[in-house]
Amino acid sequence: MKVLVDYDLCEANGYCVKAAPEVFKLDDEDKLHLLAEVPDPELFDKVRAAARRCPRKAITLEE
Amino acid sequence: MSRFPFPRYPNGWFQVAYSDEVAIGGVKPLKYFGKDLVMFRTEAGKVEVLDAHCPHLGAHLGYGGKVEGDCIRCPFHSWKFDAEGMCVEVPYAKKIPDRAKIRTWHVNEVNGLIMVWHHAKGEPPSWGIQKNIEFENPEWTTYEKRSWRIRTHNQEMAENAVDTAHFHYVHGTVEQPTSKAEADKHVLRVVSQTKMRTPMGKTTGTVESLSYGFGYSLTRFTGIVETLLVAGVTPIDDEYVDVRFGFAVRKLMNGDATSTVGAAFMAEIERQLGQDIPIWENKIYVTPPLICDGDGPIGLYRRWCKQFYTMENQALPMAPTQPQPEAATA
Repeated sequence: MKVLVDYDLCEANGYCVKAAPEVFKLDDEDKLHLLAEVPDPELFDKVRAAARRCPRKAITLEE
Repeated sequence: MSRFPFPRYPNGWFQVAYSDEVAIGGVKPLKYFGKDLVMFRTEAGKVEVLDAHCPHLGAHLGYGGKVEGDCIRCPFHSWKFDAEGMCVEVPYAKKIPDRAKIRTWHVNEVNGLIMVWHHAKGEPPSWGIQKNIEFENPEWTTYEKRSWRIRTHNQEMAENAVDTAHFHYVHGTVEQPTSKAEADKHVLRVVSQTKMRTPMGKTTGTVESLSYGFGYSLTRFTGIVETLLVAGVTPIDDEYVDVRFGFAVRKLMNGDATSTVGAAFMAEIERQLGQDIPIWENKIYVTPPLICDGDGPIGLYRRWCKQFYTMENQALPMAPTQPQPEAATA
């Protein structure tokens, strides 16, 4: 799985961070950082939840 | 039971009056943050805010208290308290009791507003409020003022700035504005492009709102004319907040046109607030909110909000049915 973020769409609502903190991080300036572009398989469910919950649909997954 | 899963009284600067409400030597009772307070202006012109009740036998200094120099004298037995809240004279006693002291509040008089600093644990201000360029500027009108008392919470009202979708559905703005929000410490800046109805037809305007915590915000509208809305929202008790809007317009060449535009803009703001009030007074707080694209950066806003609360028990901050006790601030 590969995680792609459209940073222009991202509004820093933070839903992905809640769903998968191992993969997504918001810094002090509300900028989103991808901690693992290719996450470990045990995180796939969390990452899928993150993509699903993003209100802006800014996260796409290449499975 | 609290309607909201966060403390009723956030930390920050909150407007308690306009400067012109208290002249030199003037004394005024206030009720904010669930407390009785007294505000007075010393003979040197400085505004002081103290807890209201005399520690002697409990009279309210705001009803009959008299200013003397930089002190206030209790109407009941004439005990005199200075700006630090210390009793400096009991006219009929030889010795002043050691504990004759009243709690004082940090006051900031700026932009024609009198603001006090509230902190749940009594900590001193961690930021200030600056003078803005429109105030006492001959190119700008003085404030046109309006006020409301609304059954809501500061955080709920301030959330409107980032709630882009409601503008169309609640206020009938021509289309949904596009907004961008940035949080920088205690300041939240939201810039929106919006189509607005004005007496001169539809126009695309830019709206920049700067929220300095929950109590104070500046909103600048630029389009056909430049306008400024200075807003103060201050919690009174467990239910209500006081909302004060001061509205200024950059003067046009024609004075009549300035007042026409100003009146129309104020009427539009009043119309919009009137539409928000029944929503605010009857809504619940949903956490986490079920938001979709087009809703605006509500998640970002709510993260910014957390810095203004002192949670008594950090393990239980978001339990929705647990009212957060206000810390003792004596």
